[in-house]
Amino acid sequence: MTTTVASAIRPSLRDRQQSGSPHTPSRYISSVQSSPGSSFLRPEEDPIIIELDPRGLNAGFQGESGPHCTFSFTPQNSRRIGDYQAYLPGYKRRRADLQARSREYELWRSDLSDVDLGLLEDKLERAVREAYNKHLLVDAGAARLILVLPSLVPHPVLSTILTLFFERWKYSSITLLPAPAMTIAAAGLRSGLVIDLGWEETVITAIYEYREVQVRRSTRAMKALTLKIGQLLDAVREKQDVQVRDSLLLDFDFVEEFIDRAGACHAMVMDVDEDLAARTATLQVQQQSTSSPRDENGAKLVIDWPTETSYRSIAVPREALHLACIEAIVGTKDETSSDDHEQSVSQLLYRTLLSLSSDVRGVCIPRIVFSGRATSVAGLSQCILDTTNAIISQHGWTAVRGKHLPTTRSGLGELAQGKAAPADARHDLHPPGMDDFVEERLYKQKAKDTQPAVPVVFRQVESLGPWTGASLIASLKAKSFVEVDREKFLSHGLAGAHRDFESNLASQRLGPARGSERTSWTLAGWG
Amino acid sequence: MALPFPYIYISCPCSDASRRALTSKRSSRDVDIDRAMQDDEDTFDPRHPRSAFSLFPPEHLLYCEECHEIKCPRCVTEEINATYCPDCLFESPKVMVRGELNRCPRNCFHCPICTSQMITTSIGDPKSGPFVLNCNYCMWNTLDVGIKFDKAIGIRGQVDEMANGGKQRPATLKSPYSGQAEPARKSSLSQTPLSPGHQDEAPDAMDRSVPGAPLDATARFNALRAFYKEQITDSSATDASFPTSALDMAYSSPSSLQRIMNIYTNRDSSAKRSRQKLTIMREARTSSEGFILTTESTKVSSPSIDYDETTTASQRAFQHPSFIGNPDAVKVSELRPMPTLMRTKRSKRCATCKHILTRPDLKISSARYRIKLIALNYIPFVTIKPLPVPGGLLAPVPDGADVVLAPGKPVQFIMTLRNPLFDDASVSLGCPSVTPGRHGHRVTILCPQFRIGKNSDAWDDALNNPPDRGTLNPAAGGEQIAGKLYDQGRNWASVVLEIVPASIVRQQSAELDEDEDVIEIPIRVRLEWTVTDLDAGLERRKRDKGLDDGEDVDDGKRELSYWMVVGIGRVAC
Repeated sequence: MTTTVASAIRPSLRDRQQSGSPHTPSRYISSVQSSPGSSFLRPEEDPIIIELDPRGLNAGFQGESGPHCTFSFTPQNSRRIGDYQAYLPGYKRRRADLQARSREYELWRSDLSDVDLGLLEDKLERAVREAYNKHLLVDAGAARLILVLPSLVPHPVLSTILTLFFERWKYSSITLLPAPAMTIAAAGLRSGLVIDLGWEETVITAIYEYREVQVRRSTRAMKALTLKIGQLLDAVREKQDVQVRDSLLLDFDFVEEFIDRAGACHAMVMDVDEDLAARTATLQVQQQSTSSPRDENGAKLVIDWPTETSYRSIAVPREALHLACIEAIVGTKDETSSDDHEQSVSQLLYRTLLSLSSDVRGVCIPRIVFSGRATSVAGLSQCILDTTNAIISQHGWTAVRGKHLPTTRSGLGELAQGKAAPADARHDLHPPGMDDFVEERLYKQKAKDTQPAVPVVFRQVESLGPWTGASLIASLKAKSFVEVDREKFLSHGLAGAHRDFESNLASQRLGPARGSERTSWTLAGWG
Repeated sequence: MALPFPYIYISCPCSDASRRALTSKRSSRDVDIDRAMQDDEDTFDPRHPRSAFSLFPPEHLLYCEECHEIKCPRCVTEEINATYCPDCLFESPKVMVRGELNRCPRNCFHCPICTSQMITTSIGDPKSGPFVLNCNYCMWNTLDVGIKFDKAIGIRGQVDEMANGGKQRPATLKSPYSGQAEPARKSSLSQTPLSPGHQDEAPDAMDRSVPGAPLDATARFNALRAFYKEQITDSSATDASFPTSALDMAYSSPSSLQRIMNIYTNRDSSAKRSRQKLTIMREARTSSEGFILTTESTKVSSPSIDYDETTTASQRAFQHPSFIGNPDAVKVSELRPMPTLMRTKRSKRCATCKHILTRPDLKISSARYRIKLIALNYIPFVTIKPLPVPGGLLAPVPDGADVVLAPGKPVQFIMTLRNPLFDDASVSLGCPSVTPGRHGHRVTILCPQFRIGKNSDAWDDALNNPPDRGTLNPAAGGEQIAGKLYDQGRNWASVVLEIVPASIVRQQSAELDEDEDVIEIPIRVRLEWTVTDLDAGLERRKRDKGLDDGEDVDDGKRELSYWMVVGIGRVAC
């Protein structure tokens, strides 16, 4: 599933850098008005930013460094009002099939055939109401709303979400921002590669100058990992004594928490060095045929496994966890035949980079941003990059594989490698102006500031996350491309969106009265 | 279900409307509308996942006197009247709340481990401290994260300044009270021509010391924002032929004046300027600009953590927002005590007619309401108890034990409806003969249509009724005859409800779904009553209205119908 969607989010910035026409002074005046001095006079109502994905919702005010609250869609949150049975002492956590159970934790799925849109509306309404009443403590619907959404949302879902917001509350307009671009913005970058290890899908988005230029997806994501680890834990449980076995709980909440916690203590992905050291240590131990308890602990992770009444400490082998994690997400470097939908993340990363044009690839490789829940699994991101690196060094930048290739490859490989050099001059360097001395001097002065070009090797950049990115962008008063007006949406629905958004963009760029009321609206990348 | 048996839930009619509205929106699916219409006629299924969102305990519902409808939390709009801390009951003025980040600005804190309230205790001299916050439930205290306080008051201010481990938080951090002015103030300081000397050095030195320590999310956010602001001004206001101003671009008016002048004087520079426009926003490069490589930050945190030391998802969720707590905490020792989240007193309005439904007393310590139109004053209050027959079920004792019914054996319950209205009301109850869901339990209401008397003075009962009627009634109603009430009183009536629980067949290994064995009966309640002259004010208003336009005359007839779900008990299996 490959879509090349360009969701341009910030036409205002782009305008500035691309328009070469002579400017009228009026444009400058507008920029003077948006000086930091005006940030003292904050408007009465700050816009609310809500980041929504199938698993949860983050809400907070624009201009703050983090969301005020987070709300996850769990069965616990879908109970009737006044139903507190989960807190009662006699409450039994059910051992349910993880696959079936996980559906209750999702707001929507890519496969909409069995998604109840009414239920989606109910859940979302309750979540937003709770966010307003408990955490934001402002009157709902008074301020503007900025929605941060994944770059691919099924249209019925989008329509339901927007209808709910407009009909339940009195928002005058809703701004949509794409999560991957916001992640890039929150990392301080303009271009880069966002690897979103999300719930249902891993989405790799190449972003160039805040635009999505390449999107690839795979189902090797947290859901697959959760199911895999669930199986593994079940196997561990089966190995226990008979009395112990039945009292051990294994449900979705526990598996998910286990992944988080085991991930945090490096149990899911072992360090390569540590791994080696541990292996040699166990070898020595085997030779001496004495097993000290310390080494036992090193190879196993002892956890407090919840039972119906209390906890019981159970040892889980680290090796198995590591293998499961690699198998579920990272994949190996010489994986060949896999379905397009379930490529391993390292393969997916390689394919994405391969399909990028070489200059964009050169920009993206040193700017890898990981986001999503799986970032809490320590070492996973590095593991993915290492595997991809191995693929690159083995095959180079070519899609051709085969038996006879290695003989002819060496020459081709060099050529292809040469292409991957950083060709993007616009990014950091400017061609020196040779026509007059002022330009030259300016260039020299600028050159003092410029840092040497970033070497094209994998480099991870930390991001503050899509919510914070949206907060950042919104607080800079950048106008978003997708702004849904209340009246227009309620009269036409999603069908009222302008399809041809590129021409719309062009007309806006040319039109002198930018920023005035728009006559038509578009869904940009979501259209 | 959590409520002790038997319990009552009421489904707010608004959910039906919303369901229909939602499906009719999609014109392409006309079939759906037909089905939705049928659904409306169909039985309400309390098992459906959506039902959980439309069912409310009767006490949660309001009633709008203008629309004559039940109002649930989903079909009201809310307005905040007052904000206060639920622990110390201090009210915060509206303008202050945002500055305090919706958290108690005084001494109220909650434990990051178990979320219960913390108390300030002294760990030295009882008067002069030092003090710590202590959780009396799980015995966690702030010493565990290395925080001690010098004073016993103003804890919030002290916590905000302290990082875990007791060290001072970097000064560039956004303190909650100075708000967002931080970057702007810094830039204006550096441009002030009056202070070129040593005064500027101090904050700069502070800035330089920061990159050594890992930036936390808030500091990074502020750095990034300052950086973006600078870049935007640079790229939008670059002056081509004026290099110095281009390099340290200021907002001062002389330079912008100069720039405007340049546009008109240097006509030949336009070509140059267009190239100069290429000084586009660059990306952040240093950590002072908010750019951080992942490897740098991971090196700081120690690689191996014990499983017991890690935080749970709920603990991390409790740490939001990031400028107070630490939602990215990996270890328990990185958690921070959280100031109490403020609460609000809200008045509620009907979403359709804006009529006020509840308005609380503004005083924080008072729990009273000035206006409160609760639905239980308009709809019958329903109680259910087992029929006292020999060998039947015993009345439920308030110990929370489940009521367990034997499958296949008919059980009778008495359902009593008590009329809160000051008018006689006629009630009709409709109920499917077999409950929806996987296990159809057979249900019969012996007397589905009856009238309940008005809620008059309690003495009327004694005065109007001859004393022998009381003895007559049980004789007539003691047996369960179809079409007859079991018992009747001044403003109440009882009917008999007969249930034959279905037996739940399952495989040996299969586990029952949660609450699969609970018998829940959906009952359609339809009420009709006529508002009499008793409330003369209402009548007068109505008459006035009637003079204005004849069509809109309110004849005082009221009609209300809704689905009610009665939870009876569990089936033994």
